[in-house]
Amino acid sequence: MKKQAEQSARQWFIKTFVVAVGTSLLLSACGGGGKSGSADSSAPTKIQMQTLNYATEFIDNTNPIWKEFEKRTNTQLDITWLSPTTSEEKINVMLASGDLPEVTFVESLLNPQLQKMIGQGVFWDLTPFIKDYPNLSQPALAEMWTDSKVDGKNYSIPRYYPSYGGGAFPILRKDWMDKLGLQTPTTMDQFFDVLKAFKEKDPNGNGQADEIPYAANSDTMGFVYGVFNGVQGAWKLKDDKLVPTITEDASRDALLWIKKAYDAGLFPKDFAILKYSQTVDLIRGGKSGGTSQSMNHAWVTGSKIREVVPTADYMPITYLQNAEGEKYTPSGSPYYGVYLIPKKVPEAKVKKILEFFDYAYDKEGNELATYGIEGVDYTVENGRKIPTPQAAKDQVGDGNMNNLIHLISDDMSIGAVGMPDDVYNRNVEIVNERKQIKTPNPGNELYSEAYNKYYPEISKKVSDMRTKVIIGKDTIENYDRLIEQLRSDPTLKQVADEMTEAYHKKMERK
Amino acid sequence: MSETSMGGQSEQRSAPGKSAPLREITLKKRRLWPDLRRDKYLYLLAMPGLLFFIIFKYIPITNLVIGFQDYSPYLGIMGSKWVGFEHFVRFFSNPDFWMLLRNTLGISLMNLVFFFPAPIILALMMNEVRNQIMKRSVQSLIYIPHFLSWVLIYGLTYLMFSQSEGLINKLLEASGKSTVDILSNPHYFWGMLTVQSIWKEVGWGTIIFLAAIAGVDPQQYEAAVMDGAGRFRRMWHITLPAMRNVIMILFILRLGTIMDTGFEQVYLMMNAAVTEVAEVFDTYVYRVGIRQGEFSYSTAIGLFKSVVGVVLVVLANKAAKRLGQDSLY
Repeated sequence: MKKQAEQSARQWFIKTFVVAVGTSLLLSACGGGGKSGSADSSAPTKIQMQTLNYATEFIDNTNPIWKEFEKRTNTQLDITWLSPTTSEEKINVMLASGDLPEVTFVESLLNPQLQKMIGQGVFWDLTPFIKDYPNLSQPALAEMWTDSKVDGKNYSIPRYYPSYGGGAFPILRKDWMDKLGLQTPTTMDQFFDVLKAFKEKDPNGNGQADEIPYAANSDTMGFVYGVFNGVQGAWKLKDDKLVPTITEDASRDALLWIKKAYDAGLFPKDFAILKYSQTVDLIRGGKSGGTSQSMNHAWVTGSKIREVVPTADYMPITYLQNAEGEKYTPSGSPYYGVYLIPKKVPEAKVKKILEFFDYAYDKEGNELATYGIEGVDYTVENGRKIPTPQAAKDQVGDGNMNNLIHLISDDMSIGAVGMPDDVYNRNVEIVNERKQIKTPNPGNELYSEAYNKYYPEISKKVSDMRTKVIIGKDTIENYDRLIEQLRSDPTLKQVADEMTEAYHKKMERK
Repeated sequence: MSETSMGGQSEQRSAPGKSAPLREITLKKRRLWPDLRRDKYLYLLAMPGLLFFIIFKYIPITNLVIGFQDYSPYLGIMGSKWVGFEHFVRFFSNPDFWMLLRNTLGISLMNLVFFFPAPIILALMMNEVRNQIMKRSVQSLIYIPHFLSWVLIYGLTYLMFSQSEGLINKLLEASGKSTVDILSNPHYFWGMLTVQSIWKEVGWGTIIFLAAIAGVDPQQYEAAVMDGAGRFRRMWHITLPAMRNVIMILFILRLGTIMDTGFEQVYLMMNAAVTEVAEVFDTYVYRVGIRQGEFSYSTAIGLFKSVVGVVLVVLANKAAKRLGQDSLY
């Protein structure tokens, strides 16, 4: 009797053990599945990738567009979508775990973890391969490849995003300006006057001074420092050296401008505590005269304002200039995010992956990702693509496959689903004007170890101090003291030296 | 704890025997397997819990070594360079260290002084409520905030206290007074956190104290009434002593988490105007460790926090023992 019990217990134990081991084997088999299967050239190649997705609903491999991509490229895609709210942490953790998908997406090439790993030789150097692919090496993408070089080599396939049209820059209520007879501002003084008029002259005509002229928080006002300094980014070129803009006198002037505006009641009282989404809520509510957004928001946000105020017209401004007459408009490198292939992927498969991206950057693949299948998801009328009802079902448009590879067109940053022709045409006009303006960005895409280690702390200190000065919780004298201290700060000097060195290295290569 | 008592038992049993060491070994050997076999279902029952602690608590502890390395994920723990106490030196010599320590301890002490006694007092008060329906409904109502996330509570706080939309400021404005900024005022920050914590967790905290009170024999109260003791006398001499053990143990445990301030709450409530009083170890680790990818540095900070916590628990436990109170172990 006792023996029986013992035996059954042992059997039970063995069974449990077998199940446990079996499960773990099964799991690991799944994980390693992507590695095999590229030998046979006719069978579809499995490609494991991960990328950002701004859509509210993520598609899977049953989606027709996804299937069409697989069919046309002879691949079997295994895509993991990352939601933008958690992508930063997820990507960092993924890099930290060292368990990288075959196509690894990283939001910024300057990610310090990534830079270290590139230095350690984790990823394929793609420089020798690119020229073999006609679409990857097309002239429209040339700048993107140059800009994304690390030590003169291309370790990544950048994800195209237009240089102009993006970036947080004022979009104002044109209908309010028209009503009050105001011109689109081009200087900071004019900008101030427009906002002041929004406050005092009752543009929404309800007899109450309930307008919030500019839905600002500390982050959305970042462009003011750019305008005053006449540069983009955190660095300015002086005597062939990079100096941080935070310690420049121009930044002090910018700070005083923002403070003046805050004191004049042009910003929400909760300036210091508002989060970005809350400033967007303010503008959507129809009581605010503008905020800083990328140009596609002329409709993305503009359409929401129209739901409250049907006559609202939300118009991006072209540029702002400082007292020296230097014009500022936001622009960046022509890509957002990069794809990298870890060395564990065999060379034959690297070529397959490049083939896939070559197709995705081909006009056909590019349009498939954004508009879907012709005749099914859209029809062409007078050269414009008109989406069919099927398009919504197939989740075509912003997000999903379009987030894997963006459309090689300014429409990425200035267009939006359902944008009326007049808004779109005006955006095209504005972006073309913006393209004439080359605001220098000397610190662009430069990496330095000291920068990563010390700069975020320093810049946070300064921006906290700025906010306190703006809302009157601290004095400009204390700000001056902090800046004086930073000017002789050895760590900031080390950061600046390393950045200057990186800058010269980059210039030599060009 | 259980080990020492087991050892003590076997010592006692083996004492009369002649070959004591040998018998002790055989005894132990014999005892382990039969024990396991006899209580196998109990052990099986405990298995998921044990596995949880082993897999998610004990195995990860070994990764603390990256605090002494220049850890790189690609090279792994075996390949990364050892740097000794470099990260600790960098941390302690950071001018912000004292600010972080002050804020962490400040927020924790505020919690200890104002938040810790709150559920005790509330439990005592609830115990005096005679109407059962009233008591139960109040109990349920005050539990509810525990189930709200910090994000929601931040949203509520914003709606109550912000300057442009806040209810309080709207009321002030309507009565012709000027508005006050509460959320971006460094003076109110710690107090605000404490009030939020109390609001969210006080009801939930009463559960364990009410359970302790429920264990009191009603005869004791009856006897006290016979002796002419009033409500406060009964509370003081019967209810509170009955809760003493629980209070002591919870207090000691609380000391162990003195370096934790609740990341979510502080992170959500923080803004540029209050960073000086709001930045704590947890938010610093998040900013530097996760966002800047300095895993070794942030591990070193985490390790420091844990060591302080353990030391405090041990000290508090010793003190409790010396004072003749019930202690944790």
